[in-house]
Amino acid sequence: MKNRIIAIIFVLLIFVLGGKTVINSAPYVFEDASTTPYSELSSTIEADVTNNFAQKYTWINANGLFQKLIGKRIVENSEKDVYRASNGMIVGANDYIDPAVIQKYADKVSLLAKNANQGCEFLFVELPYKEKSGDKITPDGVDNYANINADNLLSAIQANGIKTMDLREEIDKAGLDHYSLFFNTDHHWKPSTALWAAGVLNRHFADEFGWEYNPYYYDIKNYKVKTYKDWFLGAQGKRIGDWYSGVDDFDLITPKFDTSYSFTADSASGTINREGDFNKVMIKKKRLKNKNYFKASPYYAYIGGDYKITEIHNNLALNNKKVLLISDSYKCTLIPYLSNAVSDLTTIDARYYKKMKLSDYVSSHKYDAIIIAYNPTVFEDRAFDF
Amino acid sequence: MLFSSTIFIFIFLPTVLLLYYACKGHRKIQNIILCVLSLFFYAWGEPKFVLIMMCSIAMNWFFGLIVGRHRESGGNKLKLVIALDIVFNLALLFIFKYLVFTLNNINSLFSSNISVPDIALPIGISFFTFQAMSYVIDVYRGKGEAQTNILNVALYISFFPQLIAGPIVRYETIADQINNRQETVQDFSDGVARFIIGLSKKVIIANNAAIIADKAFEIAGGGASWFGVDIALSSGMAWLGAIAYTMQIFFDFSGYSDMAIGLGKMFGFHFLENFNYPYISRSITEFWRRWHISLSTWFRDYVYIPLGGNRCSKARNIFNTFVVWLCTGIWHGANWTFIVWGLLYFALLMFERSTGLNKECKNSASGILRWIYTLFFVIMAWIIFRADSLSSAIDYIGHMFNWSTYGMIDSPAIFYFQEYGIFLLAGIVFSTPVIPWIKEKLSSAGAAARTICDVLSFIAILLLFLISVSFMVKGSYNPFIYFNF
Repeated sequence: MKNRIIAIIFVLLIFVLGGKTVINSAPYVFEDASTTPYSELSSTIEADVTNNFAQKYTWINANGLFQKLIGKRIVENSEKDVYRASNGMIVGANDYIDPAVIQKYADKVSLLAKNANQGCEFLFVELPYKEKSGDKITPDGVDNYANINADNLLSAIQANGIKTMDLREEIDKAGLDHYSLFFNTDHHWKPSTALWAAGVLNRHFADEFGWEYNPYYYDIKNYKVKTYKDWFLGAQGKRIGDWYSGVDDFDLITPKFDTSYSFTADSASGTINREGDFNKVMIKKKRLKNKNYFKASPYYAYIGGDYKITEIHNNLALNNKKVLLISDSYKCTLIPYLSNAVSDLTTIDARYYKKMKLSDYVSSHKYDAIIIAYNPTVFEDRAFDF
Repeated sequence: MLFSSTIFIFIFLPTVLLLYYACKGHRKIQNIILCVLSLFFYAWGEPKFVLIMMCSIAMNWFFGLIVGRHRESGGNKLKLVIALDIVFNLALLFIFKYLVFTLNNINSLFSSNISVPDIALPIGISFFTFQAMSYVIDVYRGKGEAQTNILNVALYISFFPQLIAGPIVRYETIADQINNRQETVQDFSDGVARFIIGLSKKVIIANNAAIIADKAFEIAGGGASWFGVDIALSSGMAWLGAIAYTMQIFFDFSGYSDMAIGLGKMFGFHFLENFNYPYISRSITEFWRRWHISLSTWFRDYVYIPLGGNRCSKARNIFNTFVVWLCTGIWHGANWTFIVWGLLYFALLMFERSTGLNKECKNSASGILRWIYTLFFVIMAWIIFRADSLSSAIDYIGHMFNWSTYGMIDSPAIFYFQEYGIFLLAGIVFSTPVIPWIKEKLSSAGAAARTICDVLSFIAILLLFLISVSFMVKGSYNPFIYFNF
């Protein structure tokens, strides 16, 4: 009798889930059937079926729950394994980077600095990393070299005579609680951390470059904070599901003071133009419209996406300074707040921007400062393809 | 197409079940459906290989017909037909599986320069070739009737449940079932439960054990770093990898056999058991009575006994045993590692015969020692089996015992032990007949205990299915280890 009930449930499941999966995956299978080489067709169709499996995310969650129940702290992922840290956060781990490779990247930074126009300030900023430097929060046996690689890169860049700033040290100096600056389920910093970092950078501009600095812009009291409760499952959490990782709150931090910008961006789908205040230009609220842990990316409610290049003119700027920021996806939350410090802020993501060599770009454009700001996980040729 | 894939369980299997049971009462049509879909199943990954299988089916059907017609008259002509059939099957196997290996070795040995063709190995060729030979030989021996309908031979050889990873189903086992099987609700239900158990053995235990084993052998081969830092294989990691592979191959292989037996039952076929808790064996002799039973009995009945078995001189018996274990090694793959693996078992079996270790042990203390001895050599043999080359195997074993040089514990050993130890523990527990033991105890404890047992096993089987599906949908590591077979 027992096996008969099992058989009934089994047959129901394979027919119902199978039928739903066929409906979900059919468009992809038909598309791939006409575009995929014959030798790869069966594996492509299998991938289509698995990727479009009925209730896929519930299954990912179920798997995460199972892994949690058996006490596993690593969850394998085809893209990148993730770990449950000793403080409960979901973290990645980064390989040790060969010093020769680090030196190559440091030399690329020097090359870019040499190509900058005379009088242009040049600064390399090491952005903070989820695991605090010197801490060990990954499971036993997992050796995370992200901070060590970052230290080595900073040393190599400094040895080349380039000015640097280490925001990890700035966090310590400010006495901030390091782990509260990051999402539990995502590798990015929180928007409030980006606001703080923009303030630190602006103060640096004032101290080192002699530019105007208004601390008012970086005091969170002068911002409206709207918290979207349990709204965000970050990229690391998406790999294992929210039943394992939990979810994050997401803050939308918008200024109470007057703002006015003009904005252009080069995205994969074309040029984007926006005009108006902070809410209109810097925030894409539709990214927060629906709570969808696996399909939505609320992080990109700031700016709207990981664009190749953005150009922002602050119509109410305190100065007439032009800054070029070359950065990774941390920039999405940094740009809105850093825009208040200068008249013109151009940001380029070197990983995606291929219009021209960045060394040619900087020599053909006049900036008052060029800042390269990378987080300690960004060690890839395309990010230093200057 | 792997059994442990979403496309098999949620698309292929429902399709076959639907078409098959829609034609209930029409056995010929049902057999055609199974046959055509089995060929589709085989052709899924590499369509061209289906032609080789169809060639094998056609030739063996033809030989079977001749043998069936002239079986009663006997004589040398019949023996010649049998010999031709065996030569055909072995030639097919040799060309696709061993020709490249043979030519490479000739070139190395004689410093010759014979051009080596690039021949891909058709998946499961060893399994279906042995089944094909079994068909003609069993017809010759009168253990089954020759099939006049080629589709029935095609179904026997290509039936998808046992096609790529066994068990090797003998013709005599299912000759009658091809046309006269009886599908029952109970068989179907038992088949589903057996399939789920096999699936969970493969997906939950074997695939997770494979993560450790593959890493250990990767580090041993010098192709791995640990978070970007080059490392040597520590003794601890080497042992962990060896134990993990021991678990992986058992739960993968026996899981596949369980799935095959379960799928067979869903369609009314009854295959023989292929594994019987081999890791509780107290001798190598016992191990091979419990491991891959369909292969060892195939060699016993189709090679060892025809060579004279043990009813001959001692020297001849040793020779017969040698041939069987040489063939067993070669059957598993075209590599010296498999040959040495087979011959190691030959040496161990000879040792046991000469010392009486092959006899049943009734003393519990010596039983434990014998179990340790058996498992030790089984694990060592798996290292040879798993390694890419003999030198790699020796190197790996060297790392296991040279802890003063390589260290006992390092980061990978700590990490894999802590994070995957639970799967190894589950593997160790379920390698023993603990479940049948619990069931037996509860069954004898009264009706209430039996009910509890039924409810618990019902919940456990359903949970195992859901967990297995979650691993498959997540796209977890799902290696296929029979590509050499």
